[in-house]
Amino acid sequence: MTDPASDDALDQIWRDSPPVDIDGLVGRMARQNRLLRRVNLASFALTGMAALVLVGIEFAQILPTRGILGLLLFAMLVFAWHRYTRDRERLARAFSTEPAKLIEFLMGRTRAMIILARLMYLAPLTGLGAGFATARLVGGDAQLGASTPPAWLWGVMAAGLVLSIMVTGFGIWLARSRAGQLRVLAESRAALGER
Amino acid sequence: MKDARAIIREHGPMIARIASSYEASRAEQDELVQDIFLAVWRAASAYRGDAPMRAYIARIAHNVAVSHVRRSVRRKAAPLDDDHIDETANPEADADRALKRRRLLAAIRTLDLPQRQAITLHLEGFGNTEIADVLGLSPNAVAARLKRARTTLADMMKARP
Repeated sequence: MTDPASDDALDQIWRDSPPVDIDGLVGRMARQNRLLRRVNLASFALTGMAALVLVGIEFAQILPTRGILGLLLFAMLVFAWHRYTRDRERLARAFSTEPAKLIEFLMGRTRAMIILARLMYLAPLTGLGAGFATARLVGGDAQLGASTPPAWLWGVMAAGLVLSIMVTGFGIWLARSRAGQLRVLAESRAALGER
Repeated sequence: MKDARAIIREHGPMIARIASSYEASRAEQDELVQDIFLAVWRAASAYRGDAPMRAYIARIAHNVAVSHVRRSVRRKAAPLDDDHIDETANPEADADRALKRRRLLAAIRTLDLPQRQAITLHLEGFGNTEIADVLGLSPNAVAARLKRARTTLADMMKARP
C-alpha cells in the first residue's frame, strides 16, 4: 500500500486539483464593474446637480423661493440616499444569493466597495451642504442683498468641489483597475475554452 | 513576456493551487486568484527573462498571497472551512480524491508561512535552488524548512489516512 505521506502520494494529491472557475470569476468581476460605473455616474450626476444649485443661488439671488430651494435640496438628499441603499442592495445580491458567501464578501472586498460608494455620495452632499449654507446666507437677514458670499463660504464650496473630484476620481481609478482585471480574465476564459 | 492568455493557460492551475494553500474559503480563493492574475498582468512589463517564467509567477503569487493573509489577519475574519464545499460534479466518483486533497490542504494551511511557501513550491516541482531563488533564501534554509514541513505533513496525513 502506498504511504499516504510519501512525496509521490502528496504530489499526486496536490496536482489533483479542481479546475479554475474562470467563467465564475469573469462574471463576478463584470458585475462589480457595472455597479462601480453606476455609482460613479450617480456621483457625477449629483455633483453636477449640486453645482447647478450653487450657481443658481449665486446668480439668481432667489430670495423669494427659499422654500422651493429647500424642497429641491431635500429631494436631492432623498434621491442620493435612495440610490445609495439601492446600489448597496444590488451589490450584495450581485455576488451571491447564498448567505454564507454573502457574509464573506461583505467582510472582504465588497465592504470596501460599499464604503467607497458611501464616500462618493458624501462628496455631492458636501456640495449640497455648501448650497444650504449659501441659501441661508444669501437669503438671511445678515446677508440680505449681498451680491457675493463671504470668503469662508467660497472656501467651503471649494473644499466640497475638491472632495467631489478626489472621491469621484478614486472611483474612476478603481473602476478602471477592475476593467483591466476583467480584461485579463476574459482573455483567460477564451484561452481555457470550456474551463 | 508572453501574453496574458498564454500565461493563464499555462500557469493558472499552479496559481489556483497556491491560492488554495492559503485560503480555506472558496470565495476567498477566487479573490486571491483574481488578485494574483492582476499582479502578474501588472508585472508583465517588468519581466526581464533572467529567471524562468514559472518561478517569476510563483514569486508574485506568494507575495500577493502573503499580503492577502496579512490583510485577513487584520480583518480578523473567521475563515469558513472548505469541508462544506462540493468540489466535484460527481461526488461519488471523486469523493476519495477530493477528501485527500482537502486533508492535504488543511494540513498545509496549519504550517507557518515560511514552511507553507517552501512546501507548496516543492509540490509544484521546484528544486531547492529554485525555491531559494523565489523566496530569497539559501538552499540550506530551504532544505531545513522542507524537512520540518514534510515531517509535520506526514504526521497529519498518517493520523487521518
